[in-house]
Amino acid sequence: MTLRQKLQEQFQSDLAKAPESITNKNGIELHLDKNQQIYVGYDKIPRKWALKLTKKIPLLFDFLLQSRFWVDREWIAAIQFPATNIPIFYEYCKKCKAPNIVGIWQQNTKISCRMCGKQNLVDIKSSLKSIQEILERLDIG
Amino acid sequence: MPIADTDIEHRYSVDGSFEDPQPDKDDSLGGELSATEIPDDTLNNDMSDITSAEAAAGVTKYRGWMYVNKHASLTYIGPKMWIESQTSSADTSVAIGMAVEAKNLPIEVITNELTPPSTVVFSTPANFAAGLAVGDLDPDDYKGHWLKYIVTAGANAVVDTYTLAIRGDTNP
Repeated sequence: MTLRQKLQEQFQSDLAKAPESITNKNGIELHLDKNQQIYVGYDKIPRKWALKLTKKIPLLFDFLLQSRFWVDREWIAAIQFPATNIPIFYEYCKKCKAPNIVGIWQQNTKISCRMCGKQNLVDIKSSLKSIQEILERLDIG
Repeated sequence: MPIADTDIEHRYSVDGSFEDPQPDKDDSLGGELSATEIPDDTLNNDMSDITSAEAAAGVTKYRGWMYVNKHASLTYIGPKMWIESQTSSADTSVAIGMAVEAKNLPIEVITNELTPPSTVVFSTPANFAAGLAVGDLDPDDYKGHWLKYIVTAGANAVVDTYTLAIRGDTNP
């Protein structure tokens, strides 16, 4: 089994033990999304502050939503210690700039941006020596 | 008493003497530990609003901040810092990097907020395991770090929020 496979397997095991919800430091409750393998939650902000979001919604829904003043703002968070001790990073979509959460085992693989679907090559950089060592070993494995 | 959240203070840096006040968050561009804590959960506690001209053209700004252990007797053991929540805007992002200077030393002073600190490696750790090692902090020890705030060209106006986190161990 390669290091990449071991990390993947360990993360799946950690994911099964992760709490169903957490509260972030802004007081917003985030729920575990097992498909995306991250925590997701929402708060409401005035629509005028979130014009960017409406651009991602199809026209019909956009029309219906225009009459509403508030819009849901999405928050995401990685699986946190002590649920997992495997390094996880934010990587930004090269097209839409949205943050995507990736595990260290995904280095040098392609992921689909969760917002726009563009394929992005994961390129994690860190100054932490222990992480550099894992990244080097992933390249070898 | 073990170390409590309130014992670990997050402060601005100041281009002056140790624990001088830092009245202007936009001047937290390296130097010594200031006496001024970064107010938690407060809009614009990191920097002034990005102007429409900056948002249109895109801009990257830097800030030098410090963690200090104000517990009377206990060491903050093995702390790491990470980005708990990325920016809420899809048009911006933050990255963090530890100052290269050893703890209890002033950090590099950058010319202005647009100048990157030299030799600092920025990354985007999203959990404790990926977090940047701060190093043990004895009572009154402090250690600097840098924040990089990136606004992409054509960014929309939003109230933007992100959260940095630090966690370490403590003896009881």
